[in-house]
Amino acid sequence: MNYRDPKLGTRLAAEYALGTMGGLARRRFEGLMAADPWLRREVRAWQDDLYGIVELIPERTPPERLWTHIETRLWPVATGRVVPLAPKARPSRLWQVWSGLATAAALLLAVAVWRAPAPPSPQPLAVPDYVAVVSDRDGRPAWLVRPAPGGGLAVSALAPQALASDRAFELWLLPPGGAPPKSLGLLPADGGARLGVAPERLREIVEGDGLAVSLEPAGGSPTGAPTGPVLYLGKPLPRV
Amino acid sequence: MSAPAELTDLLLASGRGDRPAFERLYRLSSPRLYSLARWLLKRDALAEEIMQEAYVQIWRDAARFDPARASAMTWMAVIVRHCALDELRRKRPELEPGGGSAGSDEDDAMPEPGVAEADPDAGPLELALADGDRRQLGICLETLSEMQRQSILLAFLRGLTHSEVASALAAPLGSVKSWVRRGLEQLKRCLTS
Repeated sequence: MNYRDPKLGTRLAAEYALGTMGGLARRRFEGLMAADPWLRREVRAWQDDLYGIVELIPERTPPERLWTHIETRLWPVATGRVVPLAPKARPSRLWQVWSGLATAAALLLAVAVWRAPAPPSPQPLAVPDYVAVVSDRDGRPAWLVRPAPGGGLAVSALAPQALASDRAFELWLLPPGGAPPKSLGLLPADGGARLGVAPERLREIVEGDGLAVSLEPAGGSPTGAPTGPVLYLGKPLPRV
Repeated sequence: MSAPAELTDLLLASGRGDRPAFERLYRLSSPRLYSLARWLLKRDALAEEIMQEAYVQIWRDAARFDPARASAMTWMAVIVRHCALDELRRKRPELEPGGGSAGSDEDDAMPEPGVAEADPDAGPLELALADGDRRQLGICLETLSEMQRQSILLAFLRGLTHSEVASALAAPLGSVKSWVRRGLEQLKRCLTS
């Protein structure tokens, strides 16, 4: 499917905002959206229109206990009611919540990252030396990515990342001009690894729009394109 | 009652860690968002649970709210609706990638047999024409055909997929897809005219 067709892109953005997409199509679209500022703008424009519906429905005041519960969740000590802090204690919920927030929050980070100044032109022959920090949506560094001395990419997890056993983190190169992401391989949730990546691809990393990490089924994306939510982003910086 | 500018200020203040502003934001926005959660989840207890989840998320993400990109109400409603849709999708597990649905574009969720039951607001989806900022949207929804409007509202307020809308309206899937598509196009034309 040609997602660069504006008419199709607009229609898919509308259906994404409306929520009628099935799981597979939705995850695929979220992957595309993460790499395409125009699609993100389209989704925001549709959200702005469709979410007006919320202001057309009658209001209904929730029971008072709801606020007490929210307060207790957020500030258990201040409110004197200590309860287990559910969201942080359950890593399996983490990516579910995140996938839901792909439009609302993660993408704002994506925009901020992609607005960073363009890297200098790469050397025509040698593989340029650079380092990229891939961070989560809160800006917490998750992996360090750099060309390995013997070829390929050296990746190391800066902190263990929560990952369900049937999932994998896949690293993507975002080529310049919004072309479809190219897979660079699977990232370890903990520790380090070397990914076999061709030298021209290593140069492409510098020329492109950065790196993204999506959540995929174990073994990686079955389609060759990101199918899960983009959870981490990074931009290569030249080493001095 | 809750002027958009006030919600914007309160959400920005919440992003700076201002707890009283967040409580005020909650007081002003929760009646509308709770109503949205009830439309989507149909059960009060579940709607409360999801509202809790959503407001915790709103507080934690408030620093990332950018008023140039979205209105405060839309920004918060996106979070509430995402939390609610996640909950609905968890209960109605969709086929995972590679699980045999690779060729299907959508509609990989099966309709729930009891989808029309236990509904707190049974009956056709009729909305009040608002006086305020969203009056234009109300008017534009009125320009759609009945089936286009029902399909879009069922999808938005009930969180139904195309095939679930089809079974709720007892209509063929192809018709529903075309009502949604044409309805959205017409809505955009009307809103930008």
